[in-house]
Amino acid sequence: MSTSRERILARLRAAATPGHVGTPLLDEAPVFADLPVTESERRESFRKRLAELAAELVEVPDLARAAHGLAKLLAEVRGRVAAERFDLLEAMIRLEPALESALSGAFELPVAAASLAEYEVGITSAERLVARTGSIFLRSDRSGGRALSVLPPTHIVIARAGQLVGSLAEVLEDFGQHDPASSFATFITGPSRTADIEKILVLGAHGPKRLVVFLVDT
Amino acid sequence: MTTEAARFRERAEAKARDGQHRKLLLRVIDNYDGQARAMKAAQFRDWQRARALAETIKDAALDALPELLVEFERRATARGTQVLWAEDAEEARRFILGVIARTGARRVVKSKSMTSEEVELNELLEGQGVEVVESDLGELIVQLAHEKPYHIVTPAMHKTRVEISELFTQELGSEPSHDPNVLTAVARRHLRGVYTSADIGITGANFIVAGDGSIAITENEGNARLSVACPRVHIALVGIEKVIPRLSDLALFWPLLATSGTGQQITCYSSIVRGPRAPGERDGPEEMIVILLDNGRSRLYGDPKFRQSLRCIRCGACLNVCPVFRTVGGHSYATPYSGPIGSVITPQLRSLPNWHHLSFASSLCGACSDACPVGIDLHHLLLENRARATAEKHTSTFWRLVLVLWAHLMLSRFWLGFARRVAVLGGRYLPFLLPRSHRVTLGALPRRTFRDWHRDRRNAS
Repeated sequence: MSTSRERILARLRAAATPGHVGTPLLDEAPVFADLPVTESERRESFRKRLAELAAELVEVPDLARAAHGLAKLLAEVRGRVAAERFDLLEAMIRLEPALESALSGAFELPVAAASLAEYEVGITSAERLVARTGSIFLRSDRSGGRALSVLPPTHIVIARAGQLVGSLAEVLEDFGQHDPASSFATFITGPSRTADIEKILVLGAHGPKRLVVFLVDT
Repeated sequence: MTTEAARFRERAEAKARDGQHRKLLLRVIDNYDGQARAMKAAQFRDWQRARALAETIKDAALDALPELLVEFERRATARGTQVLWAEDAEEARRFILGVIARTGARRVVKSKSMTSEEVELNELLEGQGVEVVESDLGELIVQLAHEKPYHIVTPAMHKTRVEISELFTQELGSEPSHDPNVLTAVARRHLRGVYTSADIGITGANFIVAGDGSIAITENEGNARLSVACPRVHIALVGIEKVIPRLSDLALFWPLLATSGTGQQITCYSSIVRGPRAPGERDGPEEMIVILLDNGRSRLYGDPKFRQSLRCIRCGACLNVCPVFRTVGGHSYATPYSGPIGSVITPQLRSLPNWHHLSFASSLCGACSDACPVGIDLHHLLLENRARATAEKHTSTFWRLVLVLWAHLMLSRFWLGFARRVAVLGGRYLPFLLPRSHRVTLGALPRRTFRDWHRDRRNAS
């Protein structure tokens, strides 16, 4: 235990709490406008937000259609594909032979995360999707780790409609409650961007320039 | 006047006369203004209520600060994070040098961190022969230009695309281009190799989440995510005041910070960093070190008037609305924290004798207090600094005497009357002393004061 720690804490503890006693209990009314409640509101909000963010949303009724769509997308890609091994993707491979060849070798992720910089596409699952903000919530103990969803210039997410919730608060409360094992988690809202040059919006800074979400109904 | 104050005056005056600078600055801020205003209305049912809620949560967190810091330390340590407590900038620097010596690191990648500016980290590391690369685009630009960040949120706000193009051509050997997309791609390519080869990633943090033993980092570019994904060691340098109690508080603070900071609903990557690589994970640093930085904050904490300034979430809104900042720009302040918040805390964190001039460089219009998403009463705190500086006699003796004299005059019926009579005479004859072109006709001042008129009228009736 360093003495700096004790000195800092002693100074903080010695300071009396100023005048205001407790705080008036603010009512439970929602803070945010347009909070989507029903399933269709959530869908509509998520759709609208992804469009505003210049992210691509591919809504499909079932895994077969998702597999077909993914195979088509990958056929246009020049460069290597890396993918996390997860149930939705494995099910899709079984349904679409073209996908099997498109993803051959994709699951053998390089040992050094830094090598993912040489890949063009990263495919991951998501933990949750947030309708109000159009965000994708990932955790590092799933979704292939920290780098897979941020190093390759294209990030593809495959999720079920049932994973779409209304608000950030729902996700955070849930995540915080169970002291999950993951060392890192993030909310991804659109492709990476910057406005550091004259406040002009540029898409594709250091993270992915292209974000594609496959949302499967069943 | 102190040397710092004199230098400030010089810089401020030079910038105030710089038309190009003003034009660019106002264009950028206008952009921000429109977006922030729109997002406040679009995202929140009641912006004032959201502010009040944030203020409440922050105040409660500050009230319990020592306990929350200890809770953070306990939870973070349980997950393998090393938590160090730095009493001042010097100790923070020593800790970081220690990690570098221990790991033999030669290259450090940095994601934007105002605390690292505060402790002058880059100069220290470069002096030790360690390569430091700023990964945030704005920070990279000012680093290449050998300048300090201009603004806490938009470090290269003052640079035109033409200047940036020239800078990149000169320092990075790229082809000239005035297209921001092309320039951003140049930076991206340049930095790719850095993330993947750096030994240490150094970040700040926007929030310390006590109840989860984690830190939260807000960004748009992805450079912070990369800085905590690839290097073997992650060091986070965070001010102790950044504490919030629960993860769920981020549901309010992330949108609040994004709205006030950049007019966004939420930034592109809002991350929670909970520890070094966990067992079974593919990647992540082997070591995570959080340095809790005091550096005068505990002193601010103990001052009942100034504690509220620790609510600050470093959004930059007060800088953007301040008429002084808009005129003299970020570099005139010569401090890592500029604008109204910088003018409030710098005299307290550093010294009142040498830095009170920042609190005096204000018209006290109050736009800052109005803009602050956590309700800090900034303009009254500026006034408090002024009052203390005057009481401690750091201000100019001449002006203090002038004001003492003036106060006597205004409080004395005789001298006030005398001054009034002089004004009446002056009003009648002064215009004729002026050249014809400048002659102003003043209306005739009444011969009697209202008080005398009223007394006469009362006596007459």
